[in-house]
Amino acid sequence: MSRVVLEDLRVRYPREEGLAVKGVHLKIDEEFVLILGRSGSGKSTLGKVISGVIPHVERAEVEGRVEVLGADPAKEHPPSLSRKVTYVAQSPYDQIFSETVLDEVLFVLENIDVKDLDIGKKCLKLVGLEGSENRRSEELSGGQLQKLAVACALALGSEVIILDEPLAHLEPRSSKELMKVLTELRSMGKTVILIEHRLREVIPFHSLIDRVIILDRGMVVSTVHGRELHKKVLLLANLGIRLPANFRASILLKQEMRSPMDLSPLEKVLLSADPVRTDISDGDMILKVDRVWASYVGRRYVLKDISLELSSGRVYVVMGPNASGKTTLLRVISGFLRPKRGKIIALGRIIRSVSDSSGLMGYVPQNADLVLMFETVRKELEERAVRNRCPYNVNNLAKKLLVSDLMDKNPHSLSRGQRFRVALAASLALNPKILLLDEPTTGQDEECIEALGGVLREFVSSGGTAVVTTHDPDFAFNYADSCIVIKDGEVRSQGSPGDVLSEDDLVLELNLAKPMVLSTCQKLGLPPITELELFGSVIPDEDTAEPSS
Amino acid sequence: MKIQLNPAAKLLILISFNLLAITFDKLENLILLTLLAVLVYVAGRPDISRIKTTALVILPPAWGVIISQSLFYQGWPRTVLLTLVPPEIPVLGWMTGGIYLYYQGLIYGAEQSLRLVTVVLVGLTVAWTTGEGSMLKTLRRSLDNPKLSISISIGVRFFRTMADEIRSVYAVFKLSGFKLTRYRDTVRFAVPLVAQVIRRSYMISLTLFSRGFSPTSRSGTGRTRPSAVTLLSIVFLLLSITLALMKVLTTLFLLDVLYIPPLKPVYFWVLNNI
Repeated sequence: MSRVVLEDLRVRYPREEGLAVKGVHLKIDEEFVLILGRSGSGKSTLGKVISGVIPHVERAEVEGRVEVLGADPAKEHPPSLSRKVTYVAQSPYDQIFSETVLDEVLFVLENIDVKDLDIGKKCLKLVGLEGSENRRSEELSGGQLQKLAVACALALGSEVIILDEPLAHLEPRSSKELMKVLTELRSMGKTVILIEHRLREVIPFHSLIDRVIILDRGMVVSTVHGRELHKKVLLLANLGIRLPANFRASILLKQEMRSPMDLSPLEKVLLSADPVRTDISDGDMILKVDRVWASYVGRRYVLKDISLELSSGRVYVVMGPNASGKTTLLRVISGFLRPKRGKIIALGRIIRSVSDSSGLMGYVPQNADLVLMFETVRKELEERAVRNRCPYNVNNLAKKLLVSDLMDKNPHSLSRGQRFRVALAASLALNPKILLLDEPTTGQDEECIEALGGVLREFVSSGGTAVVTTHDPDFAFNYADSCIVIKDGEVRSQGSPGDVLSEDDLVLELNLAKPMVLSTCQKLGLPPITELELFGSVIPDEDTAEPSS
Repeated sequence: MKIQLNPAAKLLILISFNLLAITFDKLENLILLTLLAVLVYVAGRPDISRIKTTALVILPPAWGVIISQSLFYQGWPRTVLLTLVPPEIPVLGWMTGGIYLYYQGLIYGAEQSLRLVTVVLVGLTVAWTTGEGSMLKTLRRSLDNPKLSISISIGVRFFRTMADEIRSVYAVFKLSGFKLTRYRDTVRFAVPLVAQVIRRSYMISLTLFSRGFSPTSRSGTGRTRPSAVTLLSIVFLLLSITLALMKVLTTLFLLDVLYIPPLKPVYFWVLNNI
């Protein structure tokens, strides 16, 4: 008997016209399943129904048969349901209640009335958190927090573990470690359901995935083994999934790949490439970070003697492992956090507080919700534009960031990716000289990342300076002019993204990932060529794509 | 040797020190108590930055209390230690009748300062050596209501996050050219914070659900037997409470409010020793 059975599943959210899931039939056994689809395809809804989040936590009309280990999740009492299935939500940071790692697992054991402390320790060992039992949960990286959430699922004894976009907040090494843990769970006989739209991050692990279920507009459009994912390249392109560079090369050459990691089409494209280069000369120095030391109250220094000189007309990306000081650097630049030592000078003005940077800078924090203050997207942009005498037409701005059809919606009702784009548009409406963005690619699909990159390039070409923190090496390589790598609050490397990401030792030491195009260029002995230079627009023409069935 | 005190024991010790600091009147006792507090403080192994913070917290008020009490002591008898402004000095001397440092004021100020130093030293040690989580766990275990205990946990867990979010919203708010002095803008300031609360509430419900939490079920850990250290702390607290009670009864006797003849030896003992 299958562990998860869905028969003619239909789900409709309150106040939504259409169905979020339309007649899905699915059986899942002891396997590692990847549910793949772009934002709004219904993949999270599917996970929530299987785990019982709908209807226990979230309301929605559910029709059809849902069975997990022989029981209907909707009718199970939560503690007993959690012994069958667990749902691990996207953001790892809001999911932990306890002070220490062990306490979090013990909290779970308390809930199911288990008194054996050793079970908690065993679960931590299984996910690789052995030795971290007494660490404070706030000290853990995003990846470790996700592992802790998985350890909690193990402590509950769940047979089916569903992870909703767990890679969204993770740096490459953490993603790798989490995927390894999930594979081990699979070998222990657990059913692992991974919900993702980040194909690039998942593709190196394709051989570990037993089945990929591709979803679009609430329907299963295809099912394929992880090892044969490359056979669905056109379908994936058509669905707007962010494709790895070798997939895109195979579409360009109309050449079939032998496996999802087959690089031969990409090599061919690279060897025949003659990219048009536009040399960007350095503009005037606009921002100076002068020997800055910064820390939060009662904490150690997060930034240690950082000095940078940033010019106008350039996109700077700040990369580095979690907790390396990237966000703190943006906070210090914006005046949000005052340096303990050193100073920030922007356009000749010393930045001591936000009041000093007002009128000069726009800042979108990682949690973009904190920027959104109005009832509609339109007001969000117009109010700021009017107050700051912005020369941009807000409608054009919205169109470029793919939010023009959302102008009359409440910004807080939008998806995470949409909210970030609205927040970015709102910050641009301030007509800043310096734009600070914290992890803008999280939750964005391919089309939106392209739109975001395009807007950034346009902003800097009109004389602005953008400072962007990111874990996304592809984004850095494609859209940035300069890459600053920091670790433990110190600048470890600075230069063009191609040069910095080509430093193998640095990439390895700081757990950065190398874009596939760059590593292939290195392998072929070619100078670095960005994916954007190689392919231009990301989305292929509709007529080249195979119709979704 | 490293002694790990649990938060409950630390709280009991803190309460005991507070009680004793109020109870003791004799300078010798207060000095002894302060020395004990210093020992507790040193046992907490403070680093140099914490020692600096402690000095900043303690020294100005302690010094201020001693000096002000020495200068403005109004009780009798009082012995002049030093004449700062003789009465014959024009204006200031004529107006004040002279400014002096009094011995009894100095002693009284020292007593008050020792009380302050004791309480602050032990308080800071408890605060610095006990995470909010372990303090919370103690509280949760002492409550037998899962709804209440989880609400406290969540409130404390996300308090710092929310404080940080308020600062972030303020930063964005100012960068956007809005002002808190305008009523319409003030409303805007609240919007993202309210939205965050709603979103986080959903997230918390989701996580509690996936952790197998049920508000209707009781915590399964049950009550555990207190450790030897906790028992010692309880004894220390009981001793402090007893001394405090004896002091209260003696004070009531001195104020002619309550006199219980069999307690006569207690009154004597308190007056001579505490």
